[in-house]
Amino acid sequence: MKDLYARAGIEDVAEFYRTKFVSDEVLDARYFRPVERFHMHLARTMWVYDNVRAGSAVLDVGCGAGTLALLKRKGVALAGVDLSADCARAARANGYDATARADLRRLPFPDQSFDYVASLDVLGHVSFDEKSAVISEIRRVLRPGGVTLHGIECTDRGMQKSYEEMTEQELRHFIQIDGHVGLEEEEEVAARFRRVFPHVAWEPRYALSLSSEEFIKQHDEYGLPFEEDFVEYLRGLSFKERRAFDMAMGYVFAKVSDLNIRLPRSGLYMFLKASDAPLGPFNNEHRDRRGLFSGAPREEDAPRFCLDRDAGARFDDGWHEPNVLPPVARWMGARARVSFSAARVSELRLDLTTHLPELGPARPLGLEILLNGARLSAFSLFRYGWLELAFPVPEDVNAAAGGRFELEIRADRTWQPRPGDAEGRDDREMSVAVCNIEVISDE
Amino acid sequence: MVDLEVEKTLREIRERVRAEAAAGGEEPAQAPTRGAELSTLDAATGAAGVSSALGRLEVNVSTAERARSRLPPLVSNRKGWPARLELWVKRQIKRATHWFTWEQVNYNAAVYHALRDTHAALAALDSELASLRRQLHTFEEQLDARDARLSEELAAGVASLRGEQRAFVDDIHREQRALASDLRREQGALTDGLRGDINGGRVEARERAAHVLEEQRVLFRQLSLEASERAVACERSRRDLETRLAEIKKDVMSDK
Repeated sequence: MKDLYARAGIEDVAEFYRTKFVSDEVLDARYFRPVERFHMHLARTMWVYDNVRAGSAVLDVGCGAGTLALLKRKGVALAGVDLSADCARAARANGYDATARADLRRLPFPDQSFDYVASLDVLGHVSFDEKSAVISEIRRVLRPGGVTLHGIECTDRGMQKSYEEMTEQELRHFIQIDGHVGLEEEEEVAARFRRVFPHVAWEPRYALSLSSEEFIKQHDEYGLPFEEDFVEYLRGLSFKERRAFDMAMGYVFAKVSDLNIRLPRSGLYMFLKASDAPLGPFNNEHRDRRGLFSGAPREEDAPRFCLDRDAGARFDDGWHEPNVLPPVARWMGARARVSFSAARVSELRLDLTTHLPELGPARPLGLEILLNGARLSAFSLFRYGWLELAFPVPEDVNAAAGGRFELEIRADRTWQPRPGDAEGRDDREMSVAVCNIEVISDE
Repeated sequence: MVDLEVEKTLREIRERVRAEAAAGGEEPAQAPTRGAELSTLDAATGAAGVSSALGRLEVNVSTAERARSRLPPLVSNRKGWPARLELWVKRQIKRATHWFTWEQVNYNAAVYHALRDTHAALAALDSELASLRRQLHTFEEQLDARDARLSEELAAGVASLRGEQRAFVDDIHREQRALASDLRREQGALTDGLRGDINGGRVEARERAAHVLEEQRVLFRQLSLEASERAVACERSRRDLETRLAEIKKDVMSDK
């Protein structure tokens, strides 16, 4: 079984995972919007978030590009290791305190270094002959009384063929999808942990809720028998509709934990906790979500501050998720708003760029900047590259604002960067990317 | 009359025997000792020899035909009745020895027939040989003609190949000159293109550098803003820490 990757034609495993799991997505906790806690994409992270103690030391095993970066909102000391050096670098850029490229069987940390060792979607990628060594290594770096938490992909032998039963072609296809070379049934995974930890608890997940993307993938790639018309319906959803679906699914996923509902086996996924000490509640053991909402509050009388990472700033749905361009910036559609509070605003500054095709003097992009409905500027953009903008704010706007401001940017045209992307099905309209939105309130 | 005939016959026999003896004495000296030499004999000489031999054989066969049943005549040198008596006695003796002489006559007849058949066979062979010689001669003539024709064709082919070779060499030289000319032209165009590309590349590099500088400016600004935020956070943490330390100190003091 050791050469499953080789049999699947994957020569460079680290490169395989880099291309699969590193994107330009920003996972940095400073860019987190509280409403995202309901998104199915963050549902597993939220389970870990609610089970670690604020201020503790956490190791993310197989951190990818920074799956658990949100934990920084809880003030933890967050370290990460990954097989891929690029993944480790991406995680560091996303706010991890320390990252390293390492073999999971030989973690580069002294004994008893962490209060928690966590992983999401990792152990299904560890081959069978390495699993026990990885779990033992986790035990080594855990402090006494420390807890290891895992979200683990599973299999259901009643539904899926085992690796031995697959033909070479089936095996190749199966592993090429996600790199799963170590899928086991829930009980088998739990048994492995029981050999190392005296206290193990686990619960299945995914029996009720999956993201739209996962429904389609499990149906198309893994052959799970979801209803055809339902899958077709999901396939036809727009990006925003899928986001709404995923938010609802994430909400249900979270409620399963909140209400301590024991789901039936799904054969897809499980959460597992293990420790050398008796375990506390399986869900929400250290639930404290204040950090998700507050962030680092700025000084009330700060002369200038940046809205990009400001906890009090509210970016509406006209903005897309922050991307690494570089720098980190937010793309917007035809119209986007950000609201914030400030005693007074004398000037607004921001950096702005676009990748809109066919941009030029003959076909410029018309932009309009408004603050509380008052137009600060209107201009045409006809070249690529970053544009540094500064808008003085009229006094009458300040007088009428009452400390509440809403910056609005309007664009007269947009484009779909990935209209033919069948896999991503990203039909979002984009106009400009904006960053470094600085509010200056100097007298 | 009879004596004349006998005398003539004896002379012929004597001459034939002498001729045969002379031929038999000369043959071993003239006969070729090797087969290869036989094949080199002049055909005409061979043919003439065979013809004269066949002519002599024919004469001998006609002599044998004429004299095959003839025995010596009964003659007497006496006269009168002694002569008659002697002839009578000889006739009786002739009759009495007929059984013996008859065999000689039969033998002579057989020899005659054998010689005649041999002569006929040899004549046929000679005729066939002459025919073969003629055919051979014709064939040799044809071969000679063909040989001459092939030689002419070969000479013509060689001349043609030499001509083609010269034309090919001329073509190669012409193509070489054209290729060299094309290469020089292309090299010139490439050089011009490269100069253009280099100039274009310089412009593009300048544009990219400007873009990178812009990006760098935005990144530095982002870093600067993040650093300010961290500085504010650090300051706040420091103040919180000092406050907590002050509270702890106050608690400790009050406990004391």
